Amino acid sequence: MMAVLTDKRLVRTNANASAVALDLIGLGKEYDGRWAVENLSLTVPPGALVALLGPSGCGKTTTLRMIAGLIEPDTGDIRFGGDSVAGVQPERRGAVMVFQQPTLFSHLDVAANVGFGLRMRREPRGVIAERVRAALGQVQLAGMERRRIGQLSSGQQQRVALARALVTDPRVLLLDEPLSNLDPSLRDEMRDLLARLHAEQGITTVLVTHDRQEAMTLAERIAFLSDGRLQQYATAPELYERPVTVAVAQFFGMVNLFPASIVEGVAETAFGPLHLPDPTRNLSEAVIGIRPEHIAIGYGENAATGCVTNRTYLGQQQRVTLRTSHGHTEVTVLVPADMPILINQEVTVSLPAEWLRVIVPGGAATSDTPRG
Amino acid sequence: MSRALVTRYALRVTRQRPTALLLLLPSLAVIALFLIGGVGFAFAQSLGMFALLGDSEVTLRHYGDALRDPDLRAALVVSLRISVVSTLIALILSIGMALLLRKRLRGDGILRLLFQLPLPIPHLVGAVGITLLIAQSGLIARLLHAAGLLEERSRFPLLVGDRFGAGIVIVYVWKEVPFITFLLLAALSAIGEQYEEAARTLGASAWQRFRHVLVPLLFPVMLSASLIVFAFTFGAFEVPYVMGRTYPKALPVWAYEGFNNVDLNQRPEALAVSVLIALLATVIVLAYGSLSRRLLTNGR
Repeated sequence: MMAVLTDKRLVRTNANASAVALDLIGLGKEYDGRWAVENLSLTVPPGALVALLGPSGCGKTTTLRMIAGLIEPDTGDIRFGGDSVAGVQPERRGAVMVFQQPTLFSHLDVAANVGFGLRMRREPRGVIAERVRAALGQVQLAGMERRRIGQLSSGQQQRVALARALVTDPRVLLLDEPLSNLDPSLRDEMRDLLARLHAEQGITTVLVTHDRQEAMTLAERIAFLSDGRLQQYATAPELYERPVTVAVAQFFGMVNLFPASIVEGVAETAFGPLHLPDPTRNLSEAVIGIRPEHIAIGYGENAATGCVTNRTYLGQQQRVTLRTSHGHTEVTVLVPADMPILINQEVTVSLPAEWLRVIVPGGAATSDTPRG
Repeated sequence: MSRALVTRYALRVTRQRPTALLLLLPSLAVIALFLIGGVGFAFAQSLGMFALLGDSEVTLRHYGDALRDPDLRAALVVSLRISVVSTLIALILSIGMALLLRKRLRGDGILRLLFQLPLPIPHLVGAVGITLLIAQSGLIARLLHAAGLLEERSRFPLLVGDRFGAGIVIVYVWKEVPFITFLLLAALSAIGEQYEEAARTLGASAWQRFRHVLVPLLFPVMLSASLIVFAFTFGAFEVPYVMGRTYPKALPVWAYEGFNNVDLNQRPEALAVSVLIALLATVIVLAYGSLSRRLLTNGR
């Protein structure tokens, strides 16, 4: 039992017994004949924090607004704790949204802002004051009740916005790029605060972000969206190491992608024949990917020689791009910064079979629920 | 503002940048002409400095006469009533209009044009047009009579030259609603919808969002727009002149008729009233300035 309790997710679930699961089932939204979100299905377990990640215009904010009820979906259903919220007005859903801009009410002081939702519900004054005080403590703004919004820094304003959402005890917390408007130093601080608050309160949370780092550090699972479609719904290491679509691979920095046809465990690519580690089924169309840090300099497995076309100093490392002599394919490699490499130098690189990833066309997740 | 101060400032400007003064000169000249020439002259005459009446002595007697005049008190009541009622009705209608048009107006050029149509039409034209429409001898009464819905045209409610000034209020509302709506729409598009959305997900109903989010956000615009409308309707002459009763008259009409009276002795008193109107408008504007500044600094 003790061993089970140390499991992060179980502890979180215990922190908030009333946390609800969030189900998106075949969700879709069409604008002018184009699907902004198409057939999106995923489940957020009770009390979990899941990130919707993707480039701008991928449909992640549209999805969040549909969960909030601010946009009516064209297809599919949304369920809180198993119950459909279709047709339930946003003000009655209990899905509270925190925006990129703090959207605080500048005519009210900090306490009145935080207590806004409770006041709308006509909670007794004493209850409001007590809960506002507690919420301000949670976001490290204790004693700031009487401050004016204009007197606060941008980081403090965003924390007030967070307290304003948390104090209403939402069933689902929706965060729409809540950190993008902050300075880098404040962003780290705010990210830690979000992680801590989530661990304490265990509110089912959906975080929309375009920042890979933010998603990886905060979310238990990441739903990667591209062109309105869910590409992969998995943990950060899975997305990083085993992307199932080219879009995921590119977004997570797997820049070496070679179109290939696979016959008996060997992939024919422009780079040359690549021997794959595991027995793979034959495929006429596939993409072989490898991360730049996994490519070795020197002769070895799956080797080829090329001419250095570019090198970029990155501090500890340098990024070297070369063009292979046969096939004229670009390969990007990360090597230690002190390795002497010159432009136009001939370099041999090898692609260890254990790091080669096969991306199968149509590999995008259509319906995925977390395992375990 | 003393002329010496203006001169000193002008000199400083000239020393720094000679062309600056040159460029300012046309507008300065117009402002000075109106301020010193117009209001100053009227003020001087209201103090009794009126060469045509022979001996001129500086006195506040005409102000005393004006304030004691029961006609003035009646005119003041008429003007205040018309201004307050017009401003309130226009403001309320404009808020409704702005909220209705807010979503529709984005791409709709024709709707925008239609609703802005009264903006460039002069008040005088509006007054005459609406009189032709709503007077007992007007188009509406005639049509109703012709259709057999009205036995006699005199049964049609008296809207022009009535005790209350309903026709005047109608003209002001017709003319000022587009103006206030225009300002409110501009403010609404600057505010965006995110504040309401945030309030909505926090559980605020439509009425609560209006009452607790939109009204406070729009308050500065509502205040300034209604003060402009109030000051204008209070001091404007043409509409009550066309549509008002002979007694009691609106304040500006009363002042104008006193000014044009064959009895030149009436003129200083009429000008005293004009100065009082200008003073009242100035006080309102200054009060607004300090009020809005206080609201702004509170918001900081």
